[in-house]
Amino acid sequence: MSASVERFVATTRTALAALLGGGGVAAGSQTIAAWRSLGAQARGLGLTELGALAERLSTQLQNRGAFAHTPSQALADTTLEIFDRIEALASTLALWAVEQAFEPRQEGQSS
Amino acid sequence: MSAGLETQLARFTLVARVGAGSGVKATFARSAPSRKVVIAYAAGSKQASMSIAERSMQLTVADGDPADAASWRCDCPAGASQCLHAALAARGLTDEVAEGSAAVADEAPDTRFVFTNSVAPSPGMSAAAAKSSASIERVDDDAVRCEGAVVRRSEAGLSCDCPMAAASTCLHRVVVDAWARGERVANRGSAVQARAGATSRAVAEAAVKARPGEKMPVEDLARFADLRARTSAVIAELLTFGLQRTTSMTLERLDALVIAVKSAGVRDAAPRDAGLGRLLRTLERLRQVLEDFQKRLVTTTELDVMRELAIARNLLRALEANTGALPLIDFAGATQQEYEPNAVLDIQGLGLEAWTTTAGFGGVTAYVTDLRTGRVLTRTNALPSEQLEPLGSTWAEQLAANAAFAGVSTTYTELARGRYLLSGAQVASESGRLSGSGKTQLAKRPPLPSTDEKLRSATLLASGDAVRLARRLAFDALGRPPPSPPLVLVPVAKVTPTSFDRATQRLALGIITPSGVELPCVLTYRDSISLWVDNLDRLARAITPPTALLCRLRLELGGLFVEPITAHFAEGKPQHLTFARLDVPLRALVATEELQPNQPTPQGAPS
Repeated sequence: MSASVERFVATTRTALAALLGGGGVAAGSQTIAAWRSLGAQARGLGLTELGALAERLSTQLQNRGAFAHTPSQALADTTLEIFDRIEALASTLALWAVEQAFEPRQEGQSS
Repeated sequence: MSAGLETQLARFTLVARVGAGSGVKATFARSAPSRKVVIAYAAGSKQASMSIAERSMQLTVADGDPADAASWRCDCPAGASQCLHAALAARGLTDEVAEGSAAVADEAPDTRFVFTNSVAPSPGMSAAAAKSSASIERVDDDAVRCEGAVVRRSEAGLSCDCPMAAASTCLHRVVVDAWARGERVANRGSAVQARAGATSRAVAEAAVKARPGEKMPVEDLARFADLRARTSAVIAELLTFGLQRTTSMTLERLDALVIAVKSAGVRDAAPRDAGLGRLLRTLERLRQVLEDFQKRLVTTTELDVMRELAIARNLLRALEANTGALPLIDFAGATQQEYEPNAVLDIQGLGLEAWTTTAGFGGVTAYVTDLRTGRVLTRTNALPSEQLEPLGSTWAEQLAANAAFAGVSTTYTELARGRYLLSGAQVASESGRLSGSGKTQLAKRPPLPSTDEKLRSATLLASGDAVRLARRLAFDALGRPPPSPPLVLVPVAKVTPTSFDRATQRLALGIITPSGVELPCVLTYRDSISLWVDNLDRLARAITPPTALLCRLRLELGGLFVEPITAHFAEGKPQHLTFARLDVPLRALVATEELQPNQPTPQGAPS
């Protein structure tokens, strides 16, 4: 479970970086499909709110003509909300990894 | 206050303060030699009685503020002049309780207090009791005090006067039971036991004052409306059109926004933190990472920019919501850093770092720890690059040789390895920076070795420490800095050999602690840190590994990563890895792994 959530976090981070690099206005059909897929993955992992956000972002990107000339506040809000949640998830995973790294040694006194 | 009195005072730590209807009771503890001081303040705190060992003193407030030591008068032989008792009486009302620091010794266990109730405590309550630092004091032959409650024994078993008195058990009775069975000795015992255990003792979080929630005044919200709208527009623009379309004009717009936010300042009659200080610092960081990204620095990624955008957006949302649930400093904040006076700080130097930034600054930072709270404090000497150039290649040595505080001769290098009592020091509560104020007085004390028990709260030993330190580094949606810089002493058993990846220009090595945990260290090579990278390679080849390393911590998906800054060896002075070439006997090199510093490899990497 932890490994699949880690992979999901890494994939979403990559997708977020790509989105910020090129901008929502430059998103192609592959990007839109990727976000839809991420939404489905999130739901599969039980992260329903994150899944809904990813799907909302996918829909917003599909209608990217609306912000060809005007910056979209809604797009920014959705993207940054996803970022907040992914970073919170990443922090939780990292804390879990820290506990795991220290606990077995304490019990086993391997050194 | 004399230096001798300050020295004595600094050795006492407030370990408990219990409020009651009739007054307040504060308990100080000192270790080596062990001493407990109990001060009972009468209601209104104008009178107090103090018991130290077998003696007792009466204190009264002559005039002025009870929080000021000069206001207290004591009936001890010191008479009218200020004595330790008066200073402790003032501190008992004002100090933060240092939870987990040198504990007060319990009374000797008394098996008559073993809890014979048939209902066993829940696992959660047993765990809480095991972790409790509550001290046990004898009230009379049949009663003991545990924290604010009195637990009394009778034929029927134990009874408690806490709000859970009617329940079959409570935390106080479970703690007293553990004490009566002699089990609390193991939980709270000697330094060796504490070192072996997983108990986390650092209290840097406790050293930062908790603040109540506040609302931003409506007139300030209206005043900042235009700035909030401009910031929102920048965020939306960057995410809609992307970083590839940013130009130098984008940076100029951000510069203009930073200046506008800074000049908005804080209104005269407004609370001190009713400004946009936190947004200002976020925009400054955003501007910096955006510039680094445009310069294509490999260490700056799109996610670094997104992090600042997310924090800026969250701050704007918190300002708009203005619910009053958070203190103003969390989402608004003064534009000037706030320094708070500290009566006495007992500090031990941990290390020194020489650094440069892409923003065009260079400097040295001395890291010290406050032995009473475990908080890491910093003192920095920095200059813009233009002013460093005339100093030549020895700029770091020259900066480190400057006086660390106005009016004293102690240098940054000395501060980074010595032990001092600082009186009159001012500390920025948010960042832990020490000011260089001329009011700061230093008294030198014998330095502590890196293995000393007093440095326990600044040392990463067990799981509890790792989790506590890692929590400080977790993502914070409002960009609030950790209560203490993420630096810690890591005891070292072994340093693994280094490996260098030419493709990513990354140096990797592992620090293995005495408990067998391997902490990874990964540094991306840049010309500005070539000395550091070279020293890490030398550290890995040292015949005798260091006893401890002062490391900066980073939290990533894989766990905790460390960046060693200063190496402490069993003999000799600490060696600063970013400052001077590491001077230790090295193992012989295999020809293929030999470093050739004078023969540049691709992009100047050591390999």
